[in-house]
Amino acid sequence: MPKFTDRQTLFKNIYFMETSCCSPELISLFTPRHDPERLGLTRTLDIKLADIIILSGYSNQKIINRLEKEYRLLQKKPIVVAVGGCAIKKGPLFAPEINIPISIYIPGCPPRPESIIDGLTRGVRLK
Amino acid sequence: MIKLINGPFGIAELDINQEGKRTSSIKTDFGFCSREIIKTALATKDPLKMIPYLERIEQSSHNHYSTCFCMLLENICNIVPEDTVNRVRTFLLELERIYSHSIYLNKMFSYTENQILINHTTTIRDIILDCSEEITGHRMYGTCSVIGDVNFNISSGNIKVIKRISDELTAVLNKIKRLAKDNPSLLSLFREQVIITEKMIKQNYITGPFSWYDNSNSDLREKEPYLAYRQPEIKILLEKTINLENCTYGRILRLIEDSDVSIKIIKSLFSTGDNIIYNRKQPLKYSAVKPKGEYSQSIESPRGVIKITTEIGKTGLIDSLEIKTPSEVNMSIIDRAIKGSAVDYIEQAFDSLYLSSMEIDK
Repeated sequence: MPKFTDRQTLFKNIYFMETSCCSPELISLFTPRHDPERLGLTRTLDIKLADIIILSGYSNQKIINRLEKEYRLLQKKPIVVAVGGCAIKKGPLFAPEINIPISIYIPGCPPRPESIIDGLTRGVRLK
Repeated sequence: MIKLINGPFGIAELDINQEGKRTSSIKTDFGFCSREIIKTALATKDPLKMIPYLERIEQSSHNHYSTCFCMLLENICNIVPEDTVNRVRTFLLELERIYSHSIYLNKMFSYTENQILINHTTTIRDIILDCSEEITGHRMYGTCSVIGDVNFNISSGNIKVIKRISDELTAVLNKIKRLAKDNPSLLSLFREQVIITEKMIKQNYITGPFSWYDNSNSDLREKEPYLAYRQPEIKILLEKTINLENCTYGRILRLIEDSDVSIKIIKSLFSTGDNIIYNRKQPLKYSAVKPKGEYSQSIESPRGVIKITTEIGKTGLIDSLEIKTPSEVNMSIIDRAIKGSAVDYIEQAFDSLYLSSMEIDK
């Protein structure tokens, strides 16, 4: 019999790191102006609770190594969304590559909060 | 010993020694570049592309840097910019000033965990990004900044947008003002956090919000008026009323007032409501008119005075270029300002000096 904690919740937890130019867009995404909670998207600070992971902005090799290690240890693999030029392919800041399977790409340098919401809702449908 | 490194790229490093619960000595290393960025630069074999053309701490005032550089070139080549150019520049600079202040305020409010205040500051940034995109076609980022000509007109429709957005901004700022005034959590955190005396400021030539002490109005826009700041109406606006009482809490209130003043300046720039059309001339080749020697230009940025000096050689070409950023000057006071403060609040003390805007690696 499944435990209560195994059930899928109504809300999807999103884990993201904000660096460089993508940070103002991602921060403003979770403000009342855009309000992603109306679509069931909430923010989490723990990667183990994440249903969706957002990769965005320039992240150095040290951060990437840590993220890849954490992703390998996860039992339930979340959906990974690459936001912006740096996460998709190098970008203007020549970011190093990330070896994590990505299912959704949101292009833009950086993309607007509206397009990020659009990409994330597609991710929820995939889940 | 605690080590604080500002930002993922690394720009400022502090080595802090503690004695009991208080800090005993602080060593600062400014301009420190993280090894990771050097490694990636070597991998791409293009180190010039990896060197940030902006100071990391002042990442949100790229328009100020580029305007300062353009004004220096105008000075050397004897170019007199049009009134439209002045207005557009002042408009962008004032928007950037509010943006930079909101980043600082956001960080300060995040320590109080007051989600309403944090949300208000982020909405200010969101509104400014939308406004700049609607008028110039660019979002306001360091990577989008391109030094160049003003090549757009401001139509009456654009002016309506500016008026609507400035009304929105004043509404949000009034809410922040109401919530921040006599806020108990803000008072308990920042009332007696970092004390900067008048003597410290004058000895180290410190500028910007950092140098505001009781009843002081040190603003370069007032002393050496440039661009559209020459207008007498704006000069009156630049006077500040809030008493700082030499503490960080006072500086927070003064920053809210300063951003309110910036909105009033923007409103007064486009008060006539007429179309502002830029008559673009045919591109010409300009050359240095001034004789051989050293020339400098300074501008009041949100975090202090930016100074660019150049040296023109015999051939009329630029021989050297030196940029003095405000944070570089302001960092010299850190060891004396933070010394003696509690170790538990060292991160907040460092942030309250208007130095960091990003996360700190411990």
